[in-house]
Amino acid sequence: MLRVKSISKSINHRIIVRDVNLELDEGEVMGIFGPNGSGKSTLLKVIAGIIKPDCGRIVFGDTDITFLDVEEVVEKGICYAFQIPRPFREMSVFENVMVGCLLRYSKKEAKKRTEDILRKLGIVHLAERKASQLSQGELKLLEIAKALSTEPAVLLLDEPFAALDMKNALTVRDKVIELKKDGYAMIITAHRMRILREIADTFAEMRGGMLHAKS
Amino acid sequence: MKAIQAVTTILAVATLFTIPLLLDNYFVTWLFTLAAIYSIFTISWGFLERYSGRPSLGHASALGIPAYLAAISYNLGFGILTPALVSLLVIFLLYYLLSLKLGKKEFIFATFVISILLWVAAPRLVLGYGDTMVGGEEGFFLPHVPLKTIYLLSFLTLFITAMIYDFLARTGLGIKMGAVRDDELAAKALGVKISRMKFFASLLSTLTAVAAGYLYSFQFSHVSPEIFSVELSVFPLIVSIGGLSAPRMTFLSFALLFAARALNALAPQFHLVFYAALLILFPIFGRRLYAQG
Repeated sequence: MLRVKSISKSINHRIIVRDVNLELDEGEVMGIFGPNGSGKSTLLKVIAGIIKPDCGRIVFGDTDITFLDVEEVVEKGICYAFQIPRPFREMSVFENVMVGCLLRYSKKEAKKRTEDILRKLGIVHLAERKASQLSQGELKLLEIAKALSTEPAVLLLDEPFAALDMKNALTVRDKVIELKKDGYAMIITAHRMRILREIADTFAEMRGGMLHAKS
Repeated sequence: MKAIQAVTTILAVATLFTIPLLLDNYFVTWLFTLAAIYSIFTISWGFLERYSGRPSLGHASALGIPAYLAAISYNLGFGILTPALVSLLVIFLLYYLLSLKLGKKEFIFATFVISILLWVAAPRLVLGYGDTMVGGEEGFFLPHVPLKTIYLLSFLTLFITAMIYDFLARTGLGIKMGAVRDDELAAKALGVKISRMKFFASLLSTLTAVAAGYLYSFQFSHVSPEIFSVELSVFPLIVSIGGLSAPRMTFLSFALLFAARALNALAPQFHLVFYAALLILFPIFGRRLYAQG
């Protein structure tokens, strides 16, 4: 479904992503782990269209999406959830999620769809709360909820468990496992392989910008 | 909550509209008309700030350009409709392109600089026909329009713009525009077309500003370079910090306006320092104050 072929990216003359190849099938979950600065986030941002690669190709289905703008990549069905959550701070949780739904549905249908997403992620009780008032764990779930609002076929979750205490990390992990059961294909990054073990089908380690498959 | 805000807006505008009718006093009507025009001007600024996250610190130029073009066109013997269309186009393009190309802080500084340049250039604008010269420091005269007409037009415009301003927040378009205001990249990552949202915000702001500019110049039947003043530019910013429901913010607004006036009267050489401080501090604290309001 998603094929990344020989993607490289340099920033300020430093190679961040070096000749990366990967393939992701429908409903497959890939876990990428590695230390800080190894290029995990940059790789996901390149796939999402937020950063343009220096060379290589990204093919989704039959479409070359390498140089599409991020809005077009989202339209195709790939959505990125930021490592450090970027909520719409002055808007309610409900409105935050509704933004993505409004791009695909009428207002009435978007409201219904938003409620479903909030319920799925267990944050429906926060619907009327301003995003600026959420805890870190709630913000992580909101970030995933926003990504789900775009109805993606592939979810790119950038360190969804980072900066969370154990309880919140487990909550987020359980929700991600539910998404896997729902059939979403995902690429998830993390510092350590351990937390990805219960979620991912395939693993890869990123080190010095290079991706190495792990069993 | 939003319904309460809408009802409050309607009641406030209706009350302001009724008082001059009840008192039937020229000065009161004049004062309330001016209040309505300033309100339209502030709403125009609000369209940019609230719906595209681009607060202007030179919004006086959006008020002054239509007023000046109308006056020049009238003095040259042309109509006043063409300048309205020209100013619509000029201000819209200015705001739209600047908001597309510049970040929030750069936008604030760019609009400020444009307004200052116009303030400096306006006194140099002189028209001469025969042995008569008009313009310069004195500015231009416009035909007299009865105060009652300006009063009715001002309140009608205020009512329509205030309704659109409140209603928009509850529409799908308004929610998407709010997302762009809060975080452009995050909105983009969800598929929101940023340029389209900025197009609408710039268009609404421009339409409202041109209406305010025309009403302002015709209320005074005169337009002078002071329409581009820094004081008028920061007015909507100061009002919006305070005028957003929380009582302590309203007091802050009054305090800032009073401080600006007092500094101008007591130490005119220093009052620009006050505006400079606002210019620097607003990008840092503005949204937090706005959010509290």
